[in-house]
Amino acid sequence: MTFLEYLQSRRTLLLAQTLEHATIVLTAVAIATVVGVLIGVATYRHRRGRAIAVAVAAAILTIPSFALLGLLIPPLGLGYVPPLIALTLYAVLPILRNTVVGLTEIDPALREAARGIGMGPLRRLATVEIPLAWPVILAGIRVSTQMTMGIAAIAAYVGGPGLGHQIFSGLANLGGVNSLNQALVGTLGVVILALAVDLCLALLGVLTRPGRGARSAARNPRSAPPAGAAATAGTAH
Amino acid sequence: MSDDVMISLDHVSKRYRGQKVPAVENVSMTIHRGEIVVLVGPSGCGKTTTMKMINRLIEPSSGRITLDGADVTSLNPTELRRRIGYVIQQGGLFPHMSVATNIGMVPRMLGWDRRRIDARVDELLDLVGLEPGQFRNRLPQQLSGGQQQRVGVARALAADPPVMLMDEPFGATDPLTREHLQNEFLRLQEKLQKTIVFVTHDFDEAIKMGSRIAVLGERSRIRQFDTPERLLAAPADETVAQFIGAGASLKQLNLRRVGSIAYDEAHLVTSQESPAAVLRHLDESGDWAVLTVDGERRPLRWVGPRDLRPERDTLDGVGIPAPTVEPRATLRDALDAMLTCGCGAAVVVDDAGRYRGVLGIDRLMRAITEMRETERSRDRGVAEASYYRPPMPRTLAAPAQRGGAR
Amino acid sequence: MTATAHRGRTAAAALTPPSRWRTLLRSHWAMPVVLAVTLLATYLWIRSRQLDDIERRSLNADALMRMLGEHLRLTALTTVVVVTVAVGTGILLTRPALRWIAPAATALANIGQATPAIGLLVLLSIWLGIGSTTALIGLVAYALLPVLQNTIVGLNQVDRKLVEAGRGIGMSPLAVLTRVELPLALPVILAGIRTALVLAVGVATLATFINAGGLGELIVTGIKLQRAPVLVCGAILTAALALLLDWLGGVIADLFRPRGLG
Repeated sequence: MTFLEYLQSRRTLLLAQTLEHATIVLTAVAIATVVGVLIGVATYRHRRGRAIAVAVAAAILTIPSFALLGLLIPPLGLGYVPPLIALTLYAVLPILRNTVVGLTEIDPALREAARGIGMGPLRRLATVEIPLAWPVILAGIRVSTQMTMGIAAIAAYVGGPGLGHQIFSGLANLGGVNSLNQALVGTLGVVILALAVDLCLALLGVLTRPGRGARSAARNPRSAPPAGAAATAGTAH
Repeated sequence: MSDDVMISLDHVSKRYRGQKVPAVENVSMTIHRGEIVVLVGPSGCGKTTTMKMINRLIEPSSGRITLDGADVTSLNPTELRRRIGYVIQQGGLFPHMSVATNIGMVPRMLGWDRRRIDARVDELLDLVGLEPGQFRNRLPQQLSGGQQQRVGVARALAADPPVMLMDEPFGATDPLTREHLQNEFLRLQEKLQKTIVFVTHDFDEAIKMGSRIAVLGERSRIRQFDTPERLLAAPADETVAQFIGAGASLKQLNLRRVGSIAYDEAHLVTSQESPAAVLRHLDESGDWAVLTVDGERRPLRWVGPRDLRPERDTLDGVGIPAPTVEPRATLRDALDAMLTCGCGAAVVVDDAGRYRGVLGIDRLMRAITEMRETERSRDRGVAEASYYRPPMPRTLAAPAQRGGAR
Repeated sequence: MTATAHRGRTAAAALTPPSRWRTLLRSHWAMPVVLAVTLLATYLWIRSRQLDDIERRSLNADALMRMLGEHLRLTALTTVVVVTVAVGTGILLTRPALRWIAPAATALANIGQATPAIGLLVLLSIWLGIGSTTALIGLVAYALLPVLQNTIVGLNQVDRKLVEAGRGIGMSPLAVLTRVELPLALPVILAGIRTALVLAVGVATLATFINAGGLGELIVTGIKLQRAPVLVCGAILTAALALLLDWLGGVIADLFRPRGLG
């Protein structure tokens, strides 16, 4: 069976798995965005607080995904929940870090001006600070999405959803007729899905900030140059 | 081509791929042994590009550049550059290396032994006025801007190259430090007699530093290549005149050194002198003030009759601080000093800061008048074939009456 | 954020060299303590349980040492190969003649990030057969791009003026590279190597799927046979190993940070 024939014959299944994959990743990233932004907002004014928050998030990202999934199984069992929690935990760091960077980069004069016209802290945050930091936060969201797309493939092994099932089927059938097709469709599917979602997020960036492109404070969560290095190096601050 | 020529540029151009207009177009000039040629022009005019083609940091697209008679493109670029000192803004020091390692870089690459390098580093630090014991092991970030600049000059001199290229070397320092560095560098140059190509966008600096100045226009085209005196007196065209800017006559003050005119004498006293005795002296001599000096004859303060309280025992802390200038400072520097203290006189001191004499505002005025008259008479009659003059003419031309330049 | 902390730290270290160790201790003490406590707690928990046959077969010193050895060997080999290849390639791709390729490498690195490691391993096994060589190739392929990217970024962020100053005073291209560019790019390159280490440890847990051993075996056994002690032990050991190596990378990075930067 050629690759195209395989795609044709499993159309419905593949489409469902792709959707599942996208759903679990986007759900995790959505939760992580809320969590990351909240922690960022709560800690960015305190040097020690934000150092600890970033260090903890960085330490979590350091834990191998298979190990983190494994740790969640005894208390939560197999299924949908452990991978969702693991993906969320991983997705927090880039968003948290970029929230902190975005908020600290805001021109103090603007903040001053907002206070000057009588805005309270919450209103200031909602109408001035978060919108100004948004492009940077969105860049963090994009990084988190890319990263969790790949990790989510392992979820299939612990009963989670998604394209990972194709890869593990391929592994189980190693030497069999459809082994290559399955591994290929699983792997490529994830990459293509990641690119497509990233494109959507980039578009969202353009739509939410007309006239301005999103700045990217961190492109690669694990190997991001100086800023990233400083953040991961700060493990024990 | 005479033996006197150190560097020559012959119809040199630089074109970058994808750009219609060349960055440097058809530049020719000869630079003689021991002179400081300043390339001055607005930013982006290609002056730095022109300079960098001499040590092949940028390769010329066409034309020929020779160094001491040899075509630079025939030499290995690395070896070529070891024969040419290179100083850039802020010194371009390597931040992760100590001062000594920075300075010893080229000697090490030339294979000198450790001891010789160490000795050379100390010698150079001394030369640029930094105490070796104190500065040898410091990192660049632990130095002030001026100190970094000096280390940059020391590094360029490490292998004693006959030629130096300097790209806005004093550009990033504050005006006071810059003036000091300029004076110091001129003093060094008297000793070293290097051939120097100096790039700046500051016309005042050009006048002060240059034996000859090339005023460059767009694409590095030479608008005028002349001695500072001639440039100020007879700008070749409107653009040059505009670039010289307003106050050309004030700028002529940059042309003469304090050391080239006569000094007056002040009455020197130590701080221990009694105010009564000083009052008596001022009464008898009619001087406007006396100058207090320390044990080394370094000037401290001007003390006039109104500063004196007969009931006090000493002159400690009395009077206004006396501004000082070195013989190498220009008359413009001296005028600045006088204006800052408002006392109409600057104390001339030697390298160690010891008293040499006093330059009063009246002496300054007389010097300005003289300069005007010479330039006017020269413009009227003498049409000089070439304005090239031997290196460092201005400091040596008119030795000071007392002491003068060494 | 932490940039200021770093600056303060290096400045202090430059002025009073001996305190460097104390600064290092002060900023890196937490992780070893946390790891020691976690490992001890895990050990005590497992000791307190009656282990059955299956559990005993996995959780004995010999088996654990074998799996740890395989895991470390795979990680170390990957890191060595990745550092050599990626740093070397990074240097080549920042030389003037090849600089135009660098953006492509960076773009590839970004796509690589979304690639599932397990997919890569399975595809390689179909092509090359299962075993530790295939695992090594997969790990290298996976960890290569981030290090390459960091090397390129690290070398490109070195002040062009300093590179030109080096050439200008007559340093050979090799001398400029080894004495100016590489030392100044070292912190970023080290961060990349640290990333490679962490990625290698992580992906090495998946090596067991293609018969290449490692601590992942414990996790797989624990899940398949539903033995929580085995699963937890495997997960905690892997996590501890990753955190320990990352910590070590941080210490080394601080130790080798060139003086005078900040």
